[in-house]
Amino acid sequence: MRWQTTDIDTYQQSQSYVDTALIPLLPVSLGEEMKMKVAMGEYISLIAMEMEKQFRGRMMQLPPLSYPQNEGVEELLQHLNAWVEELKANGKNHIIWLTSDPMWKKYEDEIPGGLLLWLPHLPIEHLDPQLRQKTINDQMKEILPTIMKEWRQDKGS
Amino acid sequence: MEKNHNVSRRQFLTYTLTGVGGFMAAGVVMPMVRFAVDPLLQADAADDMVDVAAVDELTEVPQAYDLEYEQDQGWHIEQVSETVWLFLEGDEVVALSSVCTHLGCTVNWGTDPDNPEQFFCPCHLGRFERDGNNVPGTPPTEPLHRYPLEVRDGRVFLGTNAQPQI
Repeated sequence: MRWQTTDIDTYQQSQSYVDTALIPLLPVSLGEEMKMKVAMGEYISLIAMEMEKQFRGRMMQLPPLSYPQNEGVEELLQHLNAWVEELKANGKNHIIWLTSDPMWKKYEDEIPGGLLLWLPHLPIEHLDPQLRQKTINDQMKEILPTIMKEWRQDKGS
Repeated sequence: MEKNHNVSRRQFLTYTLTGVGGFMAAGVVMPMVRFAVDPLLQADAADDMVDVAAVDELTEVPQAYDLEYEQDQGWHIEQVSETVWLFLEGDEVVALSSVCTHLGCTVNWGTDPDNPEQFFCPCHLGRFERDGNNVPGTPPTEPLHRYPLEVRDGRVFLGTNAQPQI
């Protein structure tokens, strides 16, 4: 489900089925790496949309969490923790952080809440629409087992 | 002499005023009629069908195809892409929606190792038979929706409004 008024009614009727939150992590920079960051954001947003389409009955796609590139990891982790607290309090036992920012790779063990879905950024902005769709579909096929694995964990909670 | 005119002054004035008045009335009424009739003229575009696949690509095993069309959202035109499961039932083509009737996740064919001959929804383990009927005891409460379909010159055309099977 999306962060949209039209989806929230469905959400409120079937809250117990929606136990997963999807939050994209997007770095922002206006400096040298600007173009790279924009492409990254576009790619991750597309993947997030596609994941929402695939898993919409169990997954709530939240607005992306964006941060300036120079923000310290400590503060970011603190911010993430606040999110986890809010989400867990509302029954979201699986939290999926979606990003291609290489910075997170190093802190994979410290990320709270659930799954860090780190995808290498593919420069799909240069591809024609059909090939782009195929690339995204292929990526989705790889993501599916990861999500299923996450869902198999701590089922009871 | 004056009485010999074919058209009297009074008649002339009546004709002219009726004529001018008629044009003015038409000027007002015509746009109104056009606006009133407009939805009827547009109706054609709504049931346009979309070319999705060639019939001879299809098999007994359901395959995924993309149904792409534009939807007018009022303030912008959205490019919609839906996944459709197409397969042959005897000589008949069947087009099932991939949207799980439980909460709208996308179902896949044969991805549940225990039930390779069924549609499977990864979200809450919902299952559907090949003909789209939901398997009792799994979360979905109605069969997968079916697309209206026409075969023209060996191509499969689908309507953009999948219909409930019950």
